[in-house]
Amino acid sequence: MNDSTVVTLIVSGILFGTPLALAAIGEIMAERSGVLNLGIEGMMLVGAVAAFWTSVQTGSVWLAILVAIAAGAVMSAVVALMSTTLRVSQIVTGLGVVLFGIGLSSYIGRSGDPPLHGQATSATITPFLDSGPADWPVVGPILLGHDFVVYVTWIFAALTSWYLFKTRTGLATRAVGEDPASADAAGVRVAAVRYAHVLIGGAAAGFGGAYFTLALIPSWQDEITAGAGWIAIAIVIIARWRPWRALLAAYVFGAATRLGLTLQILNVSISPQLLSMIPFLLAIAAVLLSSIARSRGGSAPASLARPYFREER
Amino acid sequence: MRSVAIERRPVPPRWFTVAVPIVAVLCAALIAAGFLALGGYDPIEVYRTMLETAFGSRFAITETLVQATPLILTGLAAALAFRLQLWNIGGEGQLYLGAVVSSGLAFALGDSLPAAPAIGLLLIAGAVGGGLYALLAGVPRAVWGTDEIVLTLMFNFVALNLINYLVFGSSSAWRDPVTSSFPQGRFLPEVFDLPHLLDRLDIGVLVGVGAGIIGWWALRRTRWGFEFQVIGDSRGAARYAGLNIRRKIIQTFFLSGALAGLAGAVLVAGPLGSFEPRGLTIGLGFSGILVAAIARFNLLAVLPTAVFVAGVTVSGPELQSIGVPAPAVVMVQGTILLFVAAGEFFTTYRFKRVARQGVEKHEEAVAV
Repeated sequence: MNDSTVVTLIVSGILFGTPLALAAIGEIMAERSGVLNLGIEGMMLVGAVAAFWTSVQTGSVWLAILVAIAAGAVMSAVVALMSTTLRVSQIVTGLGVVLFGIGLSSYIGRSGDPPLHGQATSATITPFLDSGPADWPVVGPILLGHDFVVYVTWIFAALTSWYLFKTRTGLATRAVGEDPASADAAGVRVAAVRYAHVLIGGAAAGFGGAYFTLALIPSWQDEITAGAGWIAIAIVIIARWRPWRALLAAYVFGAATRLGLTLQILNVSISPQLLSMIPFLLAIAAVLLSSIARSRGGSAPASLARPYFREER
Repeated sequence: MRSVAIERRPVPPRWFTVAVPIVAVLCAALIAAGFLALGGYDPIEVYRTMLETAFGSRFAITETLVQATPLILTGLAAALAFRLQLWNIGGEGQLYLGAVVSSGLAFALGDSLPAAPAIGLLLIAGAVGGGLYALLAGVPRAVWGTDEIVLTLMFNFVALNLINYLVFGSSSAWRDPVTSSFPQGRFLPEVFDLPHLLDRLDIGVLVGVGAGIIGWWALRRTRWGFEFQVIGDSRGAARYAGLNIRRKIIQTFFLSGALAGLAGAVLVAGPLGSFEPRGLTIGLGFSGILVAAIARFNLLAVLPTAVFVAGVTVSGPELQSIGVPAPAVVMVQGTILLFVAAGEFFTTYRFKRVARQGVEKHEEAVAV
């Protein structure tokens, strides 16, 4: 039963959806505070290469994750500085961070002797349980057989959802994203809120990147995330800036990226290039539908991607 | 007691439009030098090699111009759309579709036409292919306000998989029928080869320069251009004046995609000579955004900027021969883009010295 196609697809959806969920929920934090961080793909790549490098060098998976989180946060500090302090275009900034991240990660991957590209590491993220409850029918593989990152992602979704909608600080954050002038007048420190949430988003993206090189594909290749950072940004829109919906959407996209493998098992022959289109076509359809039916489910923070300048209050 | 505050510039000085990008590029070069030194490479040696590869000889200069040709077109594509705050990040995919449609037409026509009309049709096909592909994002943007950044990006990935499918995943008309064991793109019929001007430089560069000059002129001197500027400056004023913003958005998306599609057409009929995915997928769409940003979205300034960015790009393989990994070039490009973006701060705002008098003034100064 646990080997059935449906269970396998759900499990791989959860696995491959995990980095998407981490990045998307992190991006929700940034966007709720009014900053459009388009640099996610670059942060995931730098996180991925930093994690793999640390894992190969030190053999410590914990250190690798920490370094990846720090790398993602440092990259996002650039976005925070540009968007909040310098108040320049968040779109140009984001694209710059992505280009820089692609270049830096590939550069690191090919540097060193021997180069990182082509090496293996034994320090990877592995599931808690490999037998016992993990073998229980259906619930075992779907709920119990994962590594800790999957559960951390669930906690992350729960915490951010509670924080954004049930706490005073979360309310202040959303106020900054909607109407920074009013929030400022009410005594909220707009710049500090934006810095903090962009940094959280960057850290989560770095963590998501690490999941690629420590769990999903324990190796390094150029642009290993293959557009996951962009999908994460699409997920934020599809989820209408809500963490739980983002988690679900991420799992759907995770499954969509693995659909090809499932179809192969079912002996359906479709070329791999066409199968690779599926998640992107799915994102296009979902973003289109959600913009057509925008009246329901809430819209983007009103001041998203708009810098705030106090003198013009 | 005196302190420093920030205020918005009423009008930035004219020389800023040239000085800010140049200073940004220099700053980026400094930062990149740090990374290179960290990697154990001599930055001065690297930059000298880059300059020499890009501009060191007649051959180097024509090669740089060959690289600049598609970049001019993708740069114009980005600059035009961004001027209207339409974030068309899809130049990459629109370029691919321009290549697919133009080479598809060339394969269908074969040698049946003389060179001049054949090449004319090829260019039109490329522009239409790229333009229509851009409309897939542009129409939803205009009608439902769909986020065009995400749409155009996703369409990039779809187009990338499409051209790989045409050559590596199927036996389509775009795959070279001669070599079946090692798939590669099919060569265009000879009649479509763009005539050469000097060495490998072909008339594609004239297409790019012509598009830049016509576009620049049209924005300044035509009614269409005037309306375009009004919408770009203020959506509110444009709506009040009764301009059809929706139609302008759709037209701009089409034109922007058409420029990127032209880049695809001049690539397959020019330096590539074939529908070769490995030659098409080198990040020209993203580099085009870099070009547009450095040129501060001025269509005329795109022309020299594209030559500069091409000079940086063309030196990638040469760097590898002195041991520096080629992605260093992408890293440098990203750094330049970040500094160019940061440079906008200095054209938008200026520092002013303020006397610390009342409590209010004091708070203001501390806040910034």
